[in-house]
Amino acid sequence: MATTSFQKKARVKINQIPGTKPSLFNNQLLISSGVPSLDNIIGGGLAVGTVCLIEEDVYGSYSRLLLKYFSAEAAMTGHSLLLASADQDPQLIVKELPGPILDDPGDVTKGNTPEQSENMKIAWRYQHLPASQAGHSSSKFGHYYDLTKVMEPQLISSVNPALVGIEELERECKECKDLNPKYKYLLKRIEEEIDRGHFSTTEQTDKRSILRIAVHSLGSPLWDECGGLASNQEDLDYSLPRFLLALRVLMRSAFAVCMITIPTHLFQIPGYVGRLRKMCDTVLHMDSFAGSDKEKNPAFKEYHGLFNIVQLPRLNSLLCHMPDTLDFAFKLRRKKFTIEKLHLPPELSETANRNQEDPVPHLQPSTAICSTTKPNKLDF
Amino acid sequence: MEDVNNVLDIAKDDNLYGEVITLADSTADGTFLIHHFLSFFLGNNRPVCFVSLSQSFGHHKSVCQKLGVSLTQKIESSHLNFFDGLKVFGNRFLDTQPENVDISNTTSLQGFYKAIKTNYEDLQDKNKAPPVVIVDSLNVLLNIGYQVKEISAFVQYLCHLISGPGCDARGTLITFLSIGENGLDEETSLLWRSVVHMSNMDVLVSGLESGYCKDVHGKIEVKRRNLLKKNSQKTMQFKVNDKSVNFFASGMSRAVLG
Repeated sequence: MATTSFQKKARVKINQIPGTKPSLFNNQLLISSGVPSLDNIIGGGLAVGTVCLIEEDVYGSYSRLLLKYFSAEAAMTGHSLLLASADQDPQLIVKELPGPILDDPGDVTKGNTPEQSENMKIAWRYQHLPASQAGHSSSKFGHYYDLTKVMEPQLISSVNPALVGIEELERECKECKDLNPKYKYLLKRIEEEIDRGHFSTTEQTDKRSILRIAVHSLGSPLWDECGGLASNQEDLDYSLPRFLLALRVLMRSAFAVCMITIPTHLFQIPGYVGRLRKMCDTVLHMDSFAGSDKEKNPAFKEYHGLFNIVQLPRLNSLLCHMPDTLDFAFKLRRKKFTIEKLHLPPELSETANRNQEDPVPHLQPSTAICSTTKPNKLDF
Repeated sequence: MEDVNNVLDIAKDDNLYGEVITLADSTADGTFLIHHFLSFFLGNNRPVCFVSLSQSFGHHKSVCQKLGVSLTQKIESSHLNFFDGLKVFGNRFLDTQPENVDISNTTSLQGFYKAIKTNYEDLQDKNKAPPVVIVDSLNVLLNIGYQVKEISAFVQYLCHLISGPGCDARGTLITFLSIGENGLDEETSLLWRSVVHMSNMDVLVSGLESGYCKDVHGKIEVKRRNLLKKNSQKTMQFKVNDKSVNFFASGMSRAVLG
């Protein structure tokens, strides 16, 4: 049987692949998504060999931002990158990647030298070890970015990203009866990249790296997708689930991670989005407040949108990572984008208008679920 | 896993000859049942014809290893036949030259059925006990374009395949289906209902109605369609652990009782 990219810690020398770490609870190889707060809530990071689906917010701006973080992380860790977009020119996306916030390692070593000169009295066993870790950014997991800065072009070109834009898709796609020709071409490109960079698990290479595949707004009308309907407007178009199945086959046998964003609000067929979710591994849903009446809701004044975990993958174990809650919110400050647990502001003004319905339909008060606190002795 | 057997009212050495079991999950993940049955039958030395359509071999191997069964060893000793449906059906949509064109034909599942039949008969010849067929999962077939009629006919053919001449020669069929949120996806619900109609035992794993909970992962409903038994329906809640699953009556989770 061909080995898959799910390798136990003992077999693959994981410390040799930069930018990866084994999961804390099931030895799965993980990479950072580019947003450390997101990594924390999905169990440490994205598993290598999986497909992450991001259900886009209505205007698509925040999901595009997540893709940019994902791509920027490739440049920082030396992973290879394949970026495909039909809606926007991928060259433009790559030019707008956020610049990293680099710690200056110089200060740290200066601070340590006076202590270094004395013999260590307590931790004398560690005397022979170097004072500080060589702060090489590629060995660190998860980086912070500054949205006001743009990544230097040399850094991006050092990973030599493969870009697939609409012209290439229109030019190179061939007629195909099983599948939308543009999806088929994208699969071909992904397969080529995997072969070219020797990312397949069956190949033995000295320097293992990871291929990051970012697909922007798959399933939008520019991909010739009609909301899941075939050209006669009655039958279903099975192209997108077939694409996802073939993508899963490719991912399972390669050291690669794929992040795709799909504008699921364009698919109105009941149950269709549920099928797409089942064909992917990690599924995240973004719902921005822009343009909706939630923008004015005082409960949400700190945040820019809701972020839900819809599905987490169950890989190599009976259990998948179970976070405390599935409902989060994200906020975009001038420099940073973070995802946090949704909490209401301390006091909602009494004069604020409140809707009849609960503004946060998924939020469950924590006392109702599985409370393990003993009854407070002061209650009477 | 002992606890799962208790919930399903299966004794440790039960043979389940001739039984057709339908496993389904809606809002929670019920795939632990597949691994339970895999380890249960392989542990009892029944040959298994495992058709995997949604996950790779590595995943199943790792999980079964945690449950104490080595899949590679069972393949070598001809107790297990692993059909990698994911690769066969997925490769059809890739540019690589498809090897099994008959099997992954888009309109008909005949080729696929014939391949499974060959594997089943092969296992039957090599082993004394009648084989078990486990299919994971049927909704992949539905998602990639096969019609509900085709798939339910396919399951009907499999039911016929396992029913041998004598009482002791009948195999077992276990199918898994992901329904999604109840009632939302019409075709999948239709497929589920037609497959349940052909089965003896129907297990449905769903999430709690009150939403997600870290300590109670969902509820499991077991219905037996054998009217001679008294207790034909059972509902319990569960929590999945690393190597086992805990079941308890609704509301009796240790986390809730404190």
